[in-house]
Amino acid sequence: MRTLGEQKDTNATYGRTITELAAENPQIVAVEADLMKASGSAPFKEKFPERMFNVGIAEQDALSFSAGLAAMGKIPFVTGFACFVAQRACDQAQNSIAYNDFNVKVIGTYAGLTSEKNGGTHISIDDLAIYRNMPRFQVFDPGDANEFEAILRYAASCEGPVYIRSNKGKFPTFTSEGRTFQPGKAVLLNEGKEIGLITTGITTIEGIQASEELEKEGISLRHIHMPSIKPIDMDAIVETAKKTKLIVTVENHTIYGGLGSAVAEVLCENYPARLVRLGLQDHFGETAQLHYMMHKYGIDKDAIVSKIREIVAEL
Amino acid sequence: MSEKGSLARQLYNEEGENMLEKKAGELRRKTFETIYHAGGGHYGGSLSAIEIMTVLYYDAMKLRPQEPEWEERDRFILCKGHAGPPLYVILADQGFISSDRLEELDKNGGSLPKHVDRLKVQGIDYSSGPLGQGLSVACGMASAAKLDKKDLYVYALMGDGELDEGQVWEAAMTASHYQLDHLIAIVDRNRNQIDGSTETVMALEPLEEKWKAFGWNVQAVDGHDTKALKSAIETAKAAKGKPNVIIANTIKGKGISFMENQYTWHSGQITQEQFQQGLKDLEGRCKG
Ligand SMILES: Cc1ncc(C[n+]2csc(CCOP(=O)(O)OP(=O)(O)O)c2C)c(N)n1
Repeated sequence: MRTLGEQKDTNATYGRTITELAAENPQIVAVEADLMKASGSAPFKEKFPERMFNVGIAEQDALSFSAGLAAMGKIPFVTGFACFVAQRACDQAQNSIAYNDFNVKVIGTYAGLTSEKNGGTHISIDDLAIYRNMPRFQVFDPGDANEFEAILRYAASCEGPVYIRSNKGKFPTFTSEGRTFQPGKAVLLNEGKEIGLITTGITTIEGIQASEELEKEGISLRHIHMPSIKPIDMDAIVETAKKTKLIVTVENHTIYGGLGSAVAEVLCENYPARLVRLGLQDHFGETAQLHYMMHKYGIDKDAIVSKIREIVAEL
Repeated sequence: MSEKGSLARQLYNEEGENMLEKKAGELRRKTFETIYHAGGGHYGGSLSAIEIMTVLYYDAMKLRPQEPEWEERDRFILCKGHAGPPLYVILADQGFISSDRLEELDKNGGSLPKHVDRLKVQGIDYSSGPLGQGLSVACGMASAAKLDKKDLYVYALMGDGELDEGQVWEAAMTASHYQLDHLIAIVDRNRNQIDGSTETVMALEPLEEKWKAFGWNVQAVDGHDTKALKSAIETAKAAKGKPNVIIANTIKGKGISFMENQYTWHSGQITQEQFQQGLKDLEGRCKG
C-alpha cells in the first residue's frame, strides 16, 4: 500500500520545471493569458523574459498564437484557467492546434474543484471530456506534484498536442521524485481483491486513504491511479475487472466524458463488468472550499469509503 | 413606489451630488469589511468601481427594489463579475436582499458567491465571471428592449483588462451596427489587471480612439467623481443613434493606501493589521 509523503505545491513545481526545461531546450517558450499568478510561471519570465508571451485576457488568442509559435518550431507551454482553455478556447484547441497537429502543450490551471472560491463559472467540470474528445491530444490529470513534473518533462520531449491539468494547491505526494512518466500506463497502488478502485488527479490521495481505512474493515481494494486519461491503460482496466467484483471510478470532474466514461467504454467493449462512477453528477460547482465540495459531491475519502461499504453490503 | 434606488430621492434632494459621494464612502467601507470578513477576495477591482456603481444605483437607474423583476427596469450587467461584493452591498442597502446575507459572501454553502449569480441573488440580471461575454449579452438585452419599444437603458460595466477579450470587440461592432443608443457601457479604467498594468500586459491605448473607430460615442471622466459620472450618463442618455461608452478613469484598490494602484492587490488576503490600516485610510478620506 502506498503512503502519503511530503506536501508539494503545484505552482512552484510548474515554475521550476518549465524553467529547467527551457534551460535545456531553447525551443521551449511560455504563453500566458494574464494568469501567470495562477500558473506559477514567474521564474520562467525572470530567466527568459524574451521567451515569455503574455497575450492578456484572451485565451482564444493564446491558443492560436501558440499554434503559430509551434508552426515555426517552438514548443509552447500555454496556460489558462482550465475552464477557459477548455471551454472558451475549445475551437482554437481543436482547429489551430489539434487539426494542424501542432506541438503545443496546454496547461489547464485551477482544474476542477481546485478553483474553489472562484465558483461555478470557473470550476472546469468538463475539461477532461473536451480534450479527450479531440483527436491527437494526449490528456493527463496528475496525482501529485512529482507526477506533474514528470508529465511536464514528458510533454516537452514528445511531439504533438498535450493537455495537462494543474491542480491548484499543496497536496501530499505519493509518487517518487524523478520518475519517468509513461503515457497510457496506470499505476497500481494496492493489490486487493474485492473491489477495484480507479482514481485520477487529486482523487487518488482520497483513494489511498479510503483503501487504508477499508482494509482495516477487511475490505480489500485493488487501487489503480490513472493519470493518463488518454491514451488510457486498457489492460489495467480489464485486469482489474477480472480480479475484482466491481469497479469504482473517482474523478474531480463530471462523470460524463472523463475517467468514468473512459473506463465504461473500455469495459463495455472488452470485459463487461459492474461500474460505479463517482464525480460531479450533472451539476455545476459552487463557491466554496475544495474539501467542502469534494465531500458534498461525494469524491473525498469519506464518500469513497461509505460508497464502497454500501456496495459491499449489497454484493 | 420609488423607481430609482430606494435612497435615490432623498439623496437627490438638497445636498445633491455630495450625497452620492457620501453614499460611495459608506459603500466603500462596507465593501472593504465584507471582503475582509469573507476571508479575502477581489479588493482591487471592487474598490475601483464603487463610485460607478453608486451613481448607477442611487441616481441613474430606473429600478424598483420592492419589485425586482419589474419589466421596465433598467438592466445592469456586471461584466467584470468578480466585483460582486460592492454590488451585493448596494443590493443589501437598497433592500433587494437582506443585509445579513453579506456575511455569507464566499462561505461554504453560502448564498452569495463573489462572481454574481442571478439564480441566487435577487436583483442580478446576469450571472458572470468569465470575462468578455457581458457586452454581448447587453447588446442582446438592448436589442430586445428596442424591439419591444421599451424605454429602458442597459448598462454594462467592464474591466479594462477585460477589453483584451476579442468578444468585447465583436459586441462593440454589433452595438454600433444595430445603433443601440440605449446601451451605455462603462469601462472601469483602473489601468491594472492580474499580471501587471494594462499597458505592460497588453496595451489598450489609444483606447478612446478604438471605441470611436467602432462607432461609439465616447466620454472619458474621473471615475471617482460622482458628479462627472452622473453628467456623463446624462449626456449618454441624450445622445441618439449610437451606443455610448464612458471610460471611467479610476484607481485600482481606491481608498486603501497600500492597495492603491498595486496590481498585486487584484485579489488577496489581508492581515488584521492591514484591515485596521485600511479602515484608518477610509476614515481619513471621509473626514478630509
Ligand atoms: C475569460 C476569463 N479569463 C480569465 C479570468 C480570470 N480573471 C479574473 S479577473 C482578471 C483580471 C481582470 O482585469 P480587469 O478586467 O481590468 O478587472 P479589474 O482590474 O477591474 O478588477 C482575470 C484575468 C476570467 N475571469 N475570465
